Amino acid sequence: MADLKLVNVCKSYGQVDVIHGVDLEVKHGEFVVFVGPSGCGKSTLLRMIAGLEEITDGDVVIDGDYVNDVDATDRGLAMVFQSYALYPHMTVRKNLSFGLEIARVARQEIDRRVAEAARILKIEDYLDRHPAKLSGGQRQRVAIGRAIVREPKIFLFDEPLSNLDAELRVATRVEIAKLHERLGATMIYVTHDQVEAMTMADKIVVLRNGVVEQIGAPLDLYNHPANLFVAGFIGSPRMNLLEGRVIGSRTGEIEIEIADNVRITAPIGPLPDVGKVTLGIRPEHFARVGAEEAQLALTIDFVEALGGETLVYGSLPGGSQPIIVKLDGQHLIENGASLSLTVQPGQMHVFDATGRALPKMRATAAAA
Amino acid sequence: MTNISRRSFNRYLLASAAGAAAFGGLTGSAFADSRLRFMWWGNPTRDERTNAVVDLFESANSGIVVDTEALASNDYWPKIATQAAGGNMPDVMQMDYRFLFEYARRGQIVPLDGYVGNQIDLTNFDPGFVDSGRVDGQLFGIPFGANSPSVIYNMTKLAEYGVTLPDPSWTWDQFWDFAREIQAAAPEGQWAVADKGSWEPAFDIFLRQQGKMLYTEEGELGYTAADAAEFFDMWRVARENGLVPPADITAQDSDGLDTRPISRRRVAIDFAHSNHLGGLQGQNPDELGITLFPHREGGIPGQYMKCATLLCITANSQAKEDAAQLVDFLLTDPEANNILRMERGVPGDNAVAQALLEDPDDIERKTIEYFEIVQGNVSPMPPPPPSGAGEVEVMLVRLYGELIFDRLTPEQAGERLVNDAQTILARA
Amino acid sequence: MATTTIPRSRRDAIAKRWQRGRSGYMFLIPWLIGFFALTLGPALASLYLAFTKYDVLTPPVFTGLDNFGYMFFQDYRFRQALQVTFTYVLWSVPLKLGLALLIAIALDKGTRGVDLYRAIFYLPSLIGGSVAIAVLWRQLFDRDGLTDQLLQLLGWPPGTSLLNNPDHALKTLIVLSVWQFGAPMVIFLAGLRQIPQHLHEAARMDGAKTMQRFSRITLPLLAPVIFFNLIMQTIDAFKAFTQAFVVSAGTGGPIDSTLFYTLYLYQEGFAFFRMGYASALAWFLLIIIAAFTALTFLSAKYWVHYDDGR
Ligand SMILES: Nc1ncnc2c1ncn2[C@@H]1O[C@H](COP(=O)(O)OP(=O)(O)OP(=O)(O)O)[C@@H](O)[C@H]1O
Ligand SMILES: [Mg+2]
Repeated sequence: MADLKLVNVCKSYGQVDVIHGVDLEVKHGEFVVFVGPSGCGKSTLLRMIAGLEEITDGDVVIDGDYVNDVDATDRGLAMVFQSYALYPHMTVRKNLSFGLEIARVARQEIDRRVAEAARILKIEDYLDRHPAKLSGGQRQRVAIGRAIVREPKIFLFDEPLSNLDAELRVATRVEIAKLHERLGATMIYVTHDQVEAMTMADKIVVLRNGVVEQIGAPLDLYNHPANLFVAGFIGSPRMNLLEGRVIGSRTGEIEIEIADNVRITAPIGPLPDVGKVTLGIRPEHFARVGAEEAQLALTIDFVEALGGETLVYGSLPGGSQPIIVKLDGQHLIENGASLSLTVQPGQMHVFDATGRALPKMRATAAAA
Repeated sequence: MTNISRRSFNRYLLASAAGAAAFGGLTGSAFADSRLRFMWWGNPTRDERTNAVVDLFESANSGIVVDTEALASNDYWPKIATQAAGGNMPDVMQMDYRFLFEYARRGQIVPLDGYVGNQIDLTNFDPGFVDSGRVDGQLFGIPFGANSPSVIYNMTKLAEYGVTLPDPSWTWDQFWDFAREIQAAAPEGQWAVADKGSWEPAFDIFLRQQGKMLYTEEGELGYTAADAAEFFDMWRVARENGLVPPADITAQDSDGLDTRPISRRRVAIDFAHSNHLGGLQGQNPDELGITLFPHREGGIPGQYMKCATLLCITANSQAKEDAAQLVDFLLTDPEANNILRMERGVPGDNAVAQALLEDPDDIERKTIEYFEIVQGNVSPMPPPPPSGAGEVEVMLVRLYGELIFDRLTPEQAGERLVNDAQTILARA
Repeated sequence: MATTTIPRSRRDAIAKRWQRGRSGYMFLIPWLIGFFALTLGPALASLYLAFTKYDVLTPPVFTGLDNFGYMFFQDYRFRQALQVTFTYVLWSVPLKLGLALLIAIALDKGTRGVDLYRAIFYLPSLIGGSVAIAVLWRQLFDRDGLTDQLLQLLGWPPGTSLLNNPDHALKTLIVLSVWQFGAPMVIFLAGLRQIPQHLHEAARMDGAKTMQRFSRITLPLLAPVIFFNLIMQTIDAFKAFTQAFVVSAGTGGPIDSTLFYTLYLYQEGFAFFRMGYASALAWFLLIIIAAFTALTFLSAKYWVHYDDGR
């Protein structure tokens, strides 16, 4: 168990740069999740930490030791692969003990650790089976067990749940989280599922095209996305991003026109230049009000009633900008009708023309 | 089993191997009145000449087509035996004296007496020479030509070394003295004499010079372990004196003329059948000569004229008269023999031989001169070897290998030879 | 065509089945004819001949177990042939497979030009067994040949002729066979490619070094392929004939040092016309090969693992 530091880590395959200077600090015992769309470099980054992939530039430091030139065999980390990568010719027990035998751990100790891991993961009954005779979920647990017995400095997971069905995925997610709690180990976990990221992480690293877009605690990212990409990526259904124009600004707030005659006042500091911005509002931050109070009137295109909540798909006058609204509980709304909405002022995000978030007025935002 | 079923069973056994040969006979023009197959073992020169003669025969006898097949002798006998089992032997085949009796007594070849005077004209043959083709009184094969084991020497080298070949009446002692003379003059990597202690004809002559023989009339061994040991010991002495090449060179000496030590230009003196003089000369840029085997001091002549190669007609031939015509053409036609020359030995038809003597080439001149000397020094032909003799010959080569590689002493090799030969003859 | 008025019977059903499979059987006919006429028939005939004395020219004579009695108790060339053949098999097969595996691993690692190298390394197998190459080797290993000159550089006395020396001839043939590692190499290469990369990575994460990964991951996962190659090559080695035949001009020499079993069998049958004895030898060879194969199969339980955990 250890801490990890990445300093300006880069990776190129020939002419192609896939990781552009990542800086990251992972503290001892932290659960860090790398998220990002497919092909953004999550696996590559993880494999560089593991030592499976050479580091083109920058430093990887584990527990204060510079390990760029240390082979995977000697880094003392453990990895759980998406495909499990269990040794097909070994029994589950052998799979678990293999690394320990290599490390010449005493037999007794091996047996103890294997038994312990098997107990934790509830795979005691399959110890003498071969991987081919296990279900997907059982194999997944063996793969995790193989990491546990090694007592590694850091656990690395590369999309370990993506081959499981939805139900099992949720269950295993919980198990891994519990495991983290119990072992208190440093874990780095790659996924492109933002729900996994939100639920498991102490710290999320959002990657795009080999660049870190934002690092922070899950709620931090939810509440304060640093840019349009993070804003769109974190949260489900995704944040409504409405293009608009700043038409007036006062101390502590600006007025944005997002459609003909639809203006919204957002608690953002005065802007030197008046121009194009993007207004971000999460679907859950709308509230249904009477017509007179309404900030917006939405023309409803389609309604999904989920029971506990209702999703409304609509558009602003002029039909240009689609909006998703999530309302608690059940609502009787008809297609084509108009829905009067307000937005809580503290829950609005404004991004400038480059996509960067504009600082909120803390005082008002805290109301949320 | 009845005769018929046994016969067909017999055929079936080797049908797969023989099948290929049978189909091989179906080439050539398809509308001939008569179609013959003629097989022989040989060498490129022989094959070329024989094929030319067959062409000549075909143009002289329209309506007869002859398919020919020439093989190396190693391959020839397995194939002939296979075809015999399959009942599809060629109509005319070249025969070795060694196998004449086996094939004749098993009814695979037919008596030719009925054709003599009709298709086959033997008027110019020595009756005694023709008799060597008789088995139990009947004529089963007609000798193609005569030859005799001989000493072949490299004239160019001898001249280079400044030594003179002794008189053909030389004894073994003189022979080895001469070898010492050669060796003294020979450069590194060259030896005087080829190590032919494994060559059965040499052993045969060595025995006959003392009135012994390889096989008796009854098909038993005509020599003792001590006789063999004496022969082997003679070569051991030569080897220890460095007069013959080391074992690895000798081990390479095999059937092909190109593997002979004289052809590989390792030695000045080698031993071979006289009809191979031409073939060996073809392998060698130096000039070769031929002379008699050394004699035994106080012994009797050991050399004899062999009819090593005969022509036979097989029992399964469908056109025996045409086949007999081909045999006659090969043996007595002057034009044909002007092509064949003496490649199978000196022709038995005296008229044909005389014709060749009118314009002999160098090799033929040497051969004929050699024959003139041999004639005065021969003993009668030995009785035919028993079946299994061929294997004993192979065994001799093998044992001799153990000898030259120092696994056996001459005495042990002599014992082994006699023991193994007796086992082989008993099993045959 | 069967008429429809006849009630359905068992025979009808069989006929129906025959009709359904008829085209299949028709396609099989050439093979069936070949199998019965060219394989099974001669094989059974030779089984009978093994108990006879048969010189090809005259019909076989039943002699009971005489052939086998002679074989086991008297025939020292048979013993020599066995010794030569076993020596050859026990050396050439492991050496050949080892080299094949080594080259396959090298090729598997290499990235550029693998196809070219694979073709080059396979070449000896295509031409290596041919007569031409055996003749070439004969020259190569002759006195004054290339090996003689090379060995002189290494301090051997001049005039070494490996193939004509009974102490070295068999070794030379073993080398000649090892040189033909192409076929097992290509199979090994395919086997190596089948091993998922992530297993090697998992083992690296488990701390296994190169050699440990080779012995604990690569080898066991390759076991089915090794097993296959082992069986095929062993059978091949027992049946080796051409090289010895050409190199020794059919004698098995010098002094029987390259008397392969098949060569001896050939000599007995086709040079000495003892077809009965040759058949007995052939059947005994079959038994040896079957026994070796069976042993290999039995041992497989202990070292061959299949992916599905059998
Ligand atoms: N060996 C390679 N050679 C060249 N490019 C590669 C190589 N391996 C990966 N890449 C590229 O690097 C980029 C990052 O790949 P990586 O596997 O890290 O993506 P990822 O974020 O894990 O995606 P996913 O969610 O689909 O697993 C991709 O664009 C990929 O095409
Ligand atoms: Mg990935």
